[in-house]
Amino acid sequence: MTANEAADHSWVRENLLTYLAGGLHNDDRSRFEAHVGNCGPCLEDLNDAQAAERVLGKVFADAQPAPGMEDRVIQRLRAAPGPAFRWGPYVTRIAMPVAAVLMLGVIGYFLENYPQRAETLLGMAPSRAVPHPPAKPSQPAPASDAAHADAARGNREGLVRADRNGANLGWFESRRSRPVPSMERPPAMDEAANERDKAYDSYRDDRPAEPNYFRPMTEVPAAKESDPVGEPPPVAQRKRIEEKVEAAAKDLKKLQEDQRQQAPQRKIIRSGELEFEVENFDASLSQILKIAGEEQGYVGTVSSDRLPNGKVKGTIVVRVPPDRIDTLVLKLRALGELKSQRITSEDITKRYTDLESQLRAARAMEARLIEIIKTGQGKIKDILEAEKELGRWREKIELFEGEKRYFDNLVSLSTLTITLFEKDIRTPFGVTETEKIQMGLETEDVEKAYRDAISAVDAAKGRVTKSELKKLDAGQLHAVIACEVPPDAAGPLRDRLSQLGRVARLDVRRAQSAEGGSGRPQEVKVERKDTIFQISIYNLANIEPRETAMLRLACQDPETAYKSILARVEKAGGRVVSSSIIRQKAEHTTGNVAFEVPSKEADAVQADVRSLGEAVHFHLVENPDSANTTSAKKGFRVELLAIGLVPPRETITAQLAVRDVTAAYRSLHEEIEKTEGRVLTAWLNENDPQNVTATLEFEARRDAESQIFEKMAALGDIARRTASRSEAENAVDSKIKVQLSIVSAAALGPRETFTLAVEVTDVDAVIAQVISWIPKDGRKVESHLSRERNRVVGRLSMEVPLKEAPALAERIKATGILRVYEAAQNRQIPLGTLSLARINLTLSTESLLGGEAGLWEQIKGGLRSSFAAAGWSLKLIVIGLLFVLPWALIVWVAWKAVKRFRSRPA
Amino acid sequence: MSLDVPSNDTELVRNAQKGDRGAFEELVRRTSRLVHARVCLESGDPQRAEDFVQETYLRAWRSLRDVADGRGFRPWLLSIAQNVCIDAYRRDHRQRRSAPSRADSEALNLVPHPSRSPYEELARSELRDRVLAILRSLPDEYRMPLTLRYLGGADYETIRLQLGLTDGSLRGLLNRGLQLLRAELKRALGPQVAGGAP
Repeated sequence: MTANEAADHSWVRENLLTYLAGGLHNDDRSRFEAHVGNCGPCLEDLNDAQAAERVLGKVFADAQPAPGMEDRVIQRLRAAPGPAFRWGPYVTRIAMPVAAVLMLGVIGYFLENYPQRAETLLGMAPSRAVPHPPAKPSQPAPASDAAHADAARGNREGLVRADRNGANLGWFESRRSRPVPSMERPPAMDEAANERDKAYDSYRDDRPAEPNYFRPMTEVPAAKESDPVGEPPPVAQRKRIEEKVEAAAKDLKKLQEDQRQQAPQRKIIRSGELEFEVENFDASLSQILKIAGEEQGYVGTVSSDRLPNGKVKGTIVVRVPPDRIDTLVLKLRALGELKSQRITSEDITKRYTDLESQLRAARAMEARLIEIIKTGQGKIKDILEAEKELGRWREKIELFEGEKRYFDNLVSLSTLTITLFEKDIRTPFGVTETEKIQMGLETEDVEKAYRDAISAVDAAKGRVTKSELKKLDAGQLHAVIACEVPPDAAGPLRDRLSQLGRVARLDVRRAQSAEGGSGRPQEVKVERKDTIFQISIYNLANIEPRETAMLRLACQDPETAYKSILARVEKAGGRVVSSSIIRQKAEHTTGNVAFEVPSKEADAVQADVRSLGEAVHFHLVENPDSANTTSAKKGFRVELLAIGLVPPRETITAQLAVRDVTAAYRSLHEEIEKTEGRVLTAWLNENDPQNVTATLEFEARRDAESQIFEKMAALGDIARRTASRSEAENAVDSKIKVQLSIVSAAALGPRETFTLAVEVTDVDAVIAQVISWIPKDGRKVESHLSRERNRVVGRLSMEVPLKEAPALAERIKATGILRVYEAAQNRQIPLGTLSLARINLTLSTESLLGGEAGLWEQIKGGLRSSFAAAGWSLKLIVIGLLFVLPWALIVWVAWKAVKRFRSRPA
Repeated sequence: MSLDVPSNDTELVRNAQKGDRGAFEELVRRTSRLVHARVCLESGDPQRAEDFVQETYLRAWRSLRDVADGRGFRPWLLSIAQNVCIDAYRRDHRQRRSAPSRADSEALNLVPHPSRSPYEELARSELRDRVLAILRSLPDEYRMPLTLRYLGGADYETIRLQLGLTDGSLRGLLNRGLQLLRAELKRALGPQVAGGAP
């Protein structure tokens, strides 16, 4: 193989696939084929590659793109819109504000320069044209009112534009050249146009619009002088424009003349009412006369009234030609302050025209009848009939003519009714002052006071208008006097009356009233009228006291107290209203006394009554201050109670520990009797001789309390002493209640317990010795002795007085080797002179307790620790199962759900 | 290729960005096989490949202005194709979850071809999947020419145009790619598919 062939060989290998894919052309291709034709391995390789190519081609046969894929893609693309256009972000940011500013600017410019058109666009202008009714009923029906209004507006706008600024002629021309049906336009339309011209001008010039009163049709909107705005146009151009404007104005004027001649004369009645407030009626009247003369009118009726306060009010009727009415009103304004104004107009055109036609018809009928009579044809009867008919028609004609004249009069002259009134017409012309005095007099002798009062009234030159004297139940007297006295005598009379008794009430009222109007009277003298007195005189018999004291007294002896109260009231000059006493047993007596005493005695009486016992309850009632109460006396209501009926405020509960219960019970009972105490319950229980108990419940005087308790302390130990206070309303402090239970000291149990274990050699001897040591106050509770092979155990239990117990314990300790010594206190048992101590003694010949800690003890300790640990573990397991596990489950489920939810929308 | 059509990809892209549909159509012609091959490779689903290709070009046409440099057009287009495949896969996945009874392309594959026996069809499908897997495992520069050749059925000139490569570089790529493929095939499937030793 030559070097050339070797190079070809490797080249062929490299371009195998290129060849197969058809990538070799001309020379390369022939070179490749030439080499493969000569080289066996290369041919084999090529065949292999071709085989593989075929296999792969077959495998991917249906994966290859269908023919014409590009074309289909392109077809599809052609249907799609172009690539999205994107502004740079800053472009949007700048462009939006710029666009907004531009839009606002355009709107503003439009509104500034074309307000009329803006209004039209906004639908405001057409509404102005609507209120004017079509003037001519016989007018050919227009296509539509709106169309006419539009036409009128078009014309008017053109005119206005031309007037205001000649330079705008082009637009004006174009507007004029619109096909406007001008000949058919009714005058009302022109009128509407004029109205709106005015409105427009006033709007443009910012000057107030004239009052929109009736505007006669005869008025023609004269072409106003053009007021050029800004730079004047060149002279020639300006002249040409002016000519055109003049021509246009002339056209319009001619047009309106024609229309006016076609239209019927309108008949309108105008009338008005005015109201003025003037300084002087007469001066104003003469002024009105003058003004009416100036305006070619005359004053029809004058009527005036003079009011009581000298002011004048009047009505003047002025007749004036209708077209002068507005100037007349303007001139009249100088008269004074215009209070109200009403100008009305009534269109009677239709009625008037109807009347005219009826009149014409009647005249025709008359002429016809006259002709019939003149020719004299027909029967006499017919002629007579015609004469009669003629008479009737003439009557009708007269009627119509009269009515017509009446209308003519009303139309030709307007009626103006002027009401004048002078200033301050409401000023009052008089002021009166009246005084009313109401007095209430308390006195003992009503009849005398009554007589004195009447004579006092007479002395003051007064007039008694009403007087009465009444005698009522229970010695109650009541007199009433009503009188009128001159104002100057009122003061002295009042002083005189107040000396007749105690003045309980006094009510003086003075009132001024203005007559003939309201407001502040000027320089008017106040007229004083007679003073009216209303006097009522009464005694105190049936009058409730103003103050009543309610008192509940707990006293040792209610009966004595009752008697002394009655005596005290008598002494103070008071009155007993009611009294009662109920006595069953000495300690259950109750009484009631109600009495009244004069006020000055009241405090002394109250103090004396209170000293009779202990006031359990006291309260003071004050009645409302009315005519039926008096403070001259004071009322009392006293309730008397035996002290046994009232519970004590303080209750003492105590326990008494004594050596001998029965003896203590007896001596205490005697002590209570001695100190005048009251035993409520008492019992002694001696069923069990070892445990005798007693209970005593008694009330004792407060001052005897210490005596009784001293006695108790001498008898034994007082324990558990508690005192409670009741807040009840009815309770007394002067006594106490004691609930006492008496127990035997031995039954209470030991205050202190000593446990001793002692190793001794001779148990029996020591026991006998210890028993001999027990003091006489103590006792042996139990003793026990057991003997085993070589072990003797003795147990001994004893009770001794507490103060002797430590010494005894020390002595016992000394008897041998002490193994156990414990002292325990029981704080439930009260500590006192009679307290006991118990000593439990164990005596043994050998060690009682064994080693320090035996095997069993150790095993027990180990078991205890193990159980504790087991319990602890069990607790942890329960926490884990019932608390941690559910939470862990919930968290796990939630996490799963979240994960699932998240993966879904992707 | 006529004279007035710009031969350069960069120029074509620039024209297309200005709204020239003709230029973009030319780009479609130059790259559609490539996209098709890529889509087949990515999705393994030749039935829907053409839909994906269309979708790819629609998206590309809408957002053509995002391409800053004409030389980056092909990688950009291929990334769009990949996104299209991924989106389609996600959509199918969702639909399969919500409506599992829907007959998808895999189920359609099992419908017997009228001319082939089901066993043959199954074997072919399995073989195709394995070859595709091998192709996917090749380095990128070798993979695309080979994919175009076998999946796209393109001839040499088409491959060169689609990849926008010069004559010499493509020859090298094709040859080395073929060698790699055959080695892999032989190892995976045996010599009857890969052909004789080189």
